[in-house]
Amino acid sequence: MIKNIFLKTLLVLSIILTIGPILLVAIQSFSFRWVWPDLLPQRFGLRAWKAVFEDPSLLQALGNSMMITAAVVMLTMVISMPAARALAFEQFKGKTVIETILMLPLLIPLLFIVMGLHLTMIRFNLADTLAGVILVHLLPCVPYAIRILRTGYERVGTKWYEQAIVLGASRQKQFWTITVPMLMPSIRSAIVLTVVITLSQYALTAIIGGGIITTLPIIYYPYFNSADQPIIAAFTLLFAVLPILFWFVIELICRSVTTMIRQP
Amino acid sequence: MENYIELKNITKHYNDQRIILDDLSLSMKKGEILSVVGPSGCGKTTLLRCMAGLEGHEGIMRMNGTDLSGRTDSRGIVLMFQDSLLFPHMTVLENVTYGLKMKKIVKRERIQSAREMLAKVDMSDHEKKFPYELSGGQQQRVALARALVTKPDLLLLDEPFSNLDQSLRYELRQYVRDVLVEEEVTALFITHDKEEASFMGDRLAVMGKGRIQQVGHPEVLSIQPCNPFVARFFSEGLVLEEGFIPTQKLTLIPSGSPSKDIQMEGEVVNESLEYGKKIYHIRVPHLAQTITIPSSEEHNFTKGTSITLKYTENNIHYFDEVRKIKKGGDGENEIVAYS
Amino acid sequence: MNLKITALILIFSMFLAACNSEGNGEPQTSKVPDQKWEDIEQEAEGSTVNLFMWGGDNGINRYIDDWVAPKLKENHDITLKRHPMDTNEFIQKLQTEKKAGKDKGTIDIIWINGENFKNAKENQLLLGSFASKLPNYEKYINQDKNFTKSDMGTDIDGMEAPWGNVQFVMWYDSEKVKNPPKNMDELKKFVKEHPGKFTYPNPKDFSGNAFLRHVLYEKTDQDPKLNEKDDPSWLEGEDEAFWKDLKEISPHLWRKGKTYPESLSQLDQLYSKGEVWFTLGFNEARGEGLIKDGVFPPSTESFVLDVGSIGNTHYLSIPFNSPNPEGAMVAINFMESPEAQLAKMDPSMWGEGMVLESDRLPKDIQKELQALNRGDTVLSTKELEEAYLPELNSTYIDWIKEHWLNEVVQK
Ligand SMILES: Nc1ncnc2c1ncn2[C@@H]1O[C@H](COP(=O)(O)OP(=O)(O)OP(=O)(O)O)[C@@H](O)[C@H]1O
Ligand SMILES: [Mg+2]
Repeated sequence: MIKNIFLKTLLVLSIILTIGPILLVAIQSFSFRWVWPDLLPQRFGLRAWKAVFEDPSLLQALGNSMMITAAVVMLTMVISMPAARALAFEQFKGKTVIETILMLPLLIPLLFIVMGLHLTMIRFNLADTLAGVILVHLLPCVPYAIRILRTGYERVGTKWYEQAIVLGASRQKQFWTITVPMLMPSIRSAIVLTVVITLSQYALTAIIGGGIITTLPIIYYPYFNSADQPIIAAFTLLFAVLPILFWFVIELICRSVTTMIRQP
Repeated sequence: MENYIELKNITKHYNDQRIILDDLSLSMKKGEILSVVGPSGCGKTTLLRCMAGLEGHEGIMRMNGTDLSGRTDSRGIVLMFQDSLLFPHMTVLENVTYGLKMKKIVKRERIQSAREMLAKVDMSDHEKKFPYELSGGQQQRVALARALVTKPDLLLLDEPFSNLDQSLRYELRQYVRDVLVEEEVTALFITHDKEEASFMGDRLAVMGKGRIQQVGHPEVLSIQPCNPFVARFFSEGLVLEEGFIPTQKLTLIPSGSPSKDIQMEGEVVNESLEYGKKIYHIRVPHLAQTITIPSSEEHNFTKGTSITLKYTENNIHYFDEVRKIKKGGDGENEIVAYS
Repeated sequence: MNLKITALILIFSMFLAACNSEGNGEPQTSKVPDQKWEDIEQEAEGSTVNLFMWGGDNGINRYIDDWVAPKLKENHDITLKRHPMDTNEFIQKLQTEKKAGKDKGTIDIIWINGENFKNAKENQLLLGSFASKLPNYEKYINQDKNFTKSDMGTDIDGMEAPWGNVQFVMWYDSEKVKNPPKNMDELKKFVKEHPGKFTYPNPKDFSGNAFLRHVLYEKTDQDPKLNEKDDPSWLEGEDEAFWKDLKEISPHLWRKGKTYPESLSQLDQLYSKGEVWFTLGFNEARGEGLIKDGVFPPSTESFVLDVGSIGNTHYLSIPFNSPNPEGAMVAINFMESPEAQLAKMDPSMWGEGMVLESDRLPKDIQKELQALNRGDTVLSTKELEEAYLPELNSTYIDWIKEHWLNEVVQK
C-alpha cells in the first residue's frame, strides 16, 4: 500500500518533470513580457510563431532537415549493422585498429577536424551540397550506432544465427527474422540517437553545407544569440516536434516489420 | 548398398591451429541412425558443425553422391543443438514453420505440416505458446518437430537430452527414436553416454582423438574393440597390450587358487549394486586398470580382498594391428605400438 | 562483410584525405568587374545573390526578407537569398575555400566590420576595391568621413562599402532608476547603493568591450593618443585610474562581480527579466523593436555617457570567390540607396542609422527623414552627433581583453 503510493507519487513527479519544461517553453513561445516572478506572462501573442513561420527559408529548412535525417538514418544503419555484426562476431586482422578509429569521433571533437573535412569535401565537390552534409553527418552518427548495435549483437550472440542457418535461412532472411526482432531495442536506440544527433548538427552543417544547405538549426541557432526568448521557445518547440515525428515513423515501421516477420 | 553419407579425410582446426578433427572418415546408410560417442572435448560438436556447414574444414563430404563442400544454405542437413534454441520471439507454431518458410512453402501447407508434426511430438495443444512458457522437455520436442518438419536429408542431434533430468531423458529418447524411425530420417546422434548411444543408434561409432575409432553394432563394439582406445572407453573388460578380454569371459577366483589358465592379480576396491546384483570393482595393478565384474554364486569377496582373474588364450580378442601381424604382416607395414 | 569493409574504408579515407590536404596552387581570384555601371546592372539582371549575415535578430531579418529582397527583385530582377551564419564561420569557410583553391564559392555578399574585416583583408578573402564603382556610394556618402577610409584602424581601400552607422548608448528601466549614472563617479556611487543591478558583458564580447572603451576614454580624459596611436603600449602606467575604478565597482555588480554575462544577449536577457536595470550596446535604436516585441520593459529609456558615444560602422563586402560579383555590387549599391537606407531606419524593422550624408539626399527623402519618428527611446540626432566619439583601433580591443582578466577578475 505504502509502496503503491510511493510509486504513484514518483510517476506523477516524473510526468511533471517531463511535461513541465515543455509546457513552460510552450507558454513562453506565446508570451509577451514574461518576467520573473510573474506566474504568467503579462500578455499572450502569436508574434514569435509568426516570426518563425514568416521566415522564408523555414519550409526549405524543414524539408532539408527531414531529408538529411532520413538519409543519415538509412546510411548509418546500412553501414553500422554489418560493421557492428562483424566487430561483434568475427576475428580479423586490424580489428583493434578499426575499433580505435571508430572511437576517434567520440573522443576528438569533430570541430577539431572540420577544416580538414571541409577541404576534403571541396576536393570531392561535395562542399555546399546536400550529399556532403549527409556524408559528414555520418561521422558523429556511425560510431555511436556501431557501439550500440555491437552491444546488441554481442548480447544476442551467434547461436540464433546458427540455428537459422541450419534451418535454411539466407543472409537476408537471417537479418529479417533474427537480427531485426532480436536487436530491435538496440536498433531503435541507434536510430533515435542518430536522429537526434543529425537533427542538431549546427557547425558541421554550417561549414560543409556552407550556409547554402539550410536546415532547422541553421536558422534556429542564431537566435540563441539574442534576448528574444519567445522566438527561441517557438523554434525549440518546432525543433522538438521533428524527432517526435521521426520517432512515430520509426515506431510504425518497426511494428509493421515485426508483425510481418512473425507470420507463421 | 551405396553409402548415403560419405565423409573422407575431414580435418579441422580452429584459429589456434590445434587439430580438432584429424583426417576423420565416416559413412552412413540411408535411413540409418548412427550414434557417436566419445569423451568430452574430442570434437563431436565440431564434427556436427562441419557437417551442418557452420564451420569450414578440409576433406570431402558427400551426401547422396553430391559434394557438400562450400557453405550452402540449403544442404538439407538440420542440426539440433544441445539447447533447444527455439526462437524466443516466435510462438511454437511460428518456430516449427520457420524452416518451411525458408523453403518458400506456401503458408497453408506449411501450417498444415507443422500441425501434423506437432501432433507427432504431442505438442498440438501448445502451438500458440511462446518458448518460455514450455518446460525443457517440451521445448526439445518442439525443436525436434521444427527440425523434422523440413524433412531433412540428414538430421544431426547434438546431445539433445543432456540438459534434462534422467527420467525425462528416458521418456524422451524413446519418443525421439520412434519418431525418427517412423519418419525414416537419416540421423547422426551424438552423446557421451554409452548407454544412450547404444539405445538410440542402429550402429554406433566411437570417436576419440579427432577421428572415428570404430563403427559397428554396439554388441560387437563391446566385445570386439579394434584398439585399446575403444576398449578402454567403450567396452567392458580387461584391456591388455595386445588385446581385450570381455568381462563375461573373465572368471573371478580367490587369490592363490591353482589354475592352468592365464591369471591376473587384482584387488576388490569397491562394490555396488546394479539391477539387484552385486558388482565388484576390481583394480588390476599390473594393467593400471579398474574393471567391474558382476558377482557369481560361487564366491563371495569382501572389500580389500586380493583375487585372481583368469581367462584363456582363446578369450582374448586381439586388436586389429596385432592381428595383421599375426596373419603374417600382410597389412601395410603398420607400427605395432599403442599409446 | 564486404559492405562493412567498404564503409570503413570510406570513413578512413575521409580521415586520411582530411589530414593531408593542402591548398593546391594559387586560386585565380575573380576580379572586380570593370565594365560601365549600366553593363554591370545588365549582367546582374536575373541572377541570384547570396547574402551571408548573422541571423539572430528578427527585425534585421525582416528588413532583408520583407523589404530589401522584394525591392531588389522588382527593381533589378535579382533574387536575394539571406543565409544566417555567424561572421566567424563564413570567414572560416572562405579561408578554407581559399586554401582549397575553390575559386567559385557560394557567397556573394558578407556583412562584416572591424577585426573580421582586418582578418579577411589580410588573408585576401575579399574581391577587391569595388566601393568607388557604386553610384550611390559616390553620390551620397561623404568620402571625407573617416569611416570610408578606416575600419577600426584597418585601411578600407574600397574593399567594403559602409552599410550602417550606429552609436553606443545605454538603456535603463526608468521605472526603477530615476537618474542613471553617466560617469564612473556616479556609477561607483550607484552600484554601492543598488548592489547587483548593474553589469557589463565580458570584454570578449564586442559590446562589453565597447563599454570599457568608453571608460578608457573617460579615465584618460580622452587622451588624443587613443586615436593617434595604433599601439596601446603607451597606456602602461597611465591605466591605473581605469583599472582602479573597474575593480572598485566589481564587487557591487550583478552576482558580486564573480561572473559577467558572456554576451550582450545574456545581458539583454537579464535586463529583460529585470535582474539588472541596465543594458547597453551599439545601435541607438535597437531598444525600439525589443520594447515592441515585449522583450524590454516599456519603461526603457536610453542615454549616452558623459564622455560621449563611440560610433561604429558596419559594412558589406564581396568575397574573393563570389560567383556573382556583378549581382553583389548591384545589390550593395541598392542597399546604399536613399530609399533602402531610409527604410532601414524604420523602427518597425531595423531602426539603425544611415551612412548617407543627409544634405545630399533627394528632397523627398530628406523630408521623409525629417518626418521619421525613430521612436521615443532613440535620442535626438543632435544629441548623438554631439556625443560622437571615434572608434578605437582594434589593438585596444585586444589590450582590454587581455588585461581585464588579470586586473579585474583575478582579484
Ligand atoms: N570456436 C572454437 N575455437 C577454438 N576451439 C574450439 C572452438 N570450439 C571448440 N573448440 C575446441 O575444440 C575441441 C572440441 O570441441 P567440441 O565442442 O567439438 O567437443 P565435444 O566433443 O562436443 O565435447 P562435449 O562432449 O563436451 O560437448 C575442444 O578442445 C574445444 O576446446
Ligand atoms: Mg559438444
